[in-house]
Amino acid sequence: MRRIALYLDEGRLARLRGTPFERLVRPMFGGGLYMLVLELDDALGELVLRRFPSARVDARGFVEDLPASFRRALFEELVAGGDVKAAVLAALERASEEEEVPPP
Amino acid sequence: MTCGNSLIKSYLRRIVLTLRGRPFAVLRVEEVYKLPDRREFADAVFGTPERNGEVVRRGFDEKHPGWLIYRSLKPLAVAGKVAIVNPPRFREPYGRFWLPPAESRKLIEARGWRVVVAHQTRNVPHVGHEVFMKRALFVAGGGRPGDAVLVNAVIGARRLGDFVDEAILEGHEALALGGYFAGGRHVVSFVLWDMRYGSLLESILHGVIRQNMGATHHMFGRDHANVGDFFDPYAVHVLWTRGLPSYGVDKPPHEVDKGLRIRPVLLGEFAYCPKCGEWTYLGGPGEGPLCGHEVERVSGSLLRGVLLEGLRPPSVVMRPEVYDVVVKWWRVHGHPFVTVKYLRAKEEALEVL
Repeated sequence: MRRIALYLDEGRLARLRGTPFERLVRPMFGGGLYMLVLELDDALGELVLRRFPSARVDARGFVEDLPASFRRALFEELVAGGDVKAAVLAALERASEEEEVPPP
Repeated sequence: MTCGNSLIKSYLRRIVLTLRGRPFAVLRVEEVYKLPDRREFADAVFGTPERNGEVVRRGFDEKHPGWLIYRSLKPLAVAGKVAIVNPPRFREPYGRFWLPPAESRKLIEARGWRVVVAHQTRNVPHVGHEVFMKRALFVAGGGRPGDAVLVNAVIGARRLGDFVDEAILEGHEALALGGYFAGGRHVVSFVLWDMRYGSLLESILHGVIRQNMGATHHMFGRDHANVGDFFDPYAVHVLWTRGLPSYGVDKPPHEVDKGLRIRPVLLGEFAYCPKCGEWTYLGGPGEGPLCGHEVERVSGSLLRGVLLEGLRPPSVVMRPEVYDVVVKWWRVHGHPFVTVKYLRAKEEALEVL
């Protein structure tokens, strides 16, 4: 089993309210941020790792260093409804290893 | 591996090494080696689960960048003393962090430092790194803080998704500028080196480099010079605690005859405890947090994920001054991390003038 975490502030958390994923959210750093933890079966996890050269499994066992476009597409898919597997597959379709990400 | 091929040696007395097409250094050839099959050679260097089972978790392959470098070497290797003929001049911001060994030792002597702890990095620091450095100062000082931390960033081949080099250097500098280390007792420098991710093997090289720079201690944490799951995360601790006979090192590198003078500071992980509202020592395998609460492990990858979501990490995990540095270089390069575009730009410009 592999895990992916999406990180949320209050604004993004509000968009998840009422979805089945709300219960998967846990606070981070004393409530400064939130983390949505998604569990992927091994095959799906490997698919994500193979798709993005930068992706790696960190010390906590999470698949990290994923492109921003994948993270954002995955979040939007989850907000739109559906299960985790379908959302991951759809996000993989939409995402690319981007060269530029607008700074905050 | 064969050594001392006299015919080759007679032709190869001196080799001029170039940088940007100009002479940089001269290598006086003292030893010549013909390498065997490079796959076998790479396995002999990095180890195998069968021969080095105490620290090697699985067989090395092309996914390991260091093993791949060794497997791809040319069949001839030469060794000897290197004399620099044209010292490199660096672009900013690299220039102000360039601290060659002699200058580093001079600085340490001028400041009267007796306990200097080297910190190896390839990351923009989060607060866990800062806590690690401060704790290592205490360990090295024997219960009183030592004099200084010598941060030595490895600048060289990069992996996609790593923080950009400029942010690594200036991010560490921001810790001193922001007052998180007082009185200039936190010095940031770099070494040009393509990481081999050789874990325990590379830790010996790191010991040599930082000893040459004048450091008295070297901190080694979890996953030192490690990538993937080839080596045990604490392989370096095994080497520096009891040696690794399967690699031909019967004792820790600072205990063997004519070994290193630099001493290890071996620490496990630190984690953030939301209940205590502070960082606590988590330790290594089989250990638990010092407090009795559920703690949060923080990795560099986690923070990169937070940043990519466009979120500002809370100051308990990333100092605001460090975050500002990340955003500064994000604006310059269009991305906070190493991309193909960044690699291309670096190949053309390099760090040197």
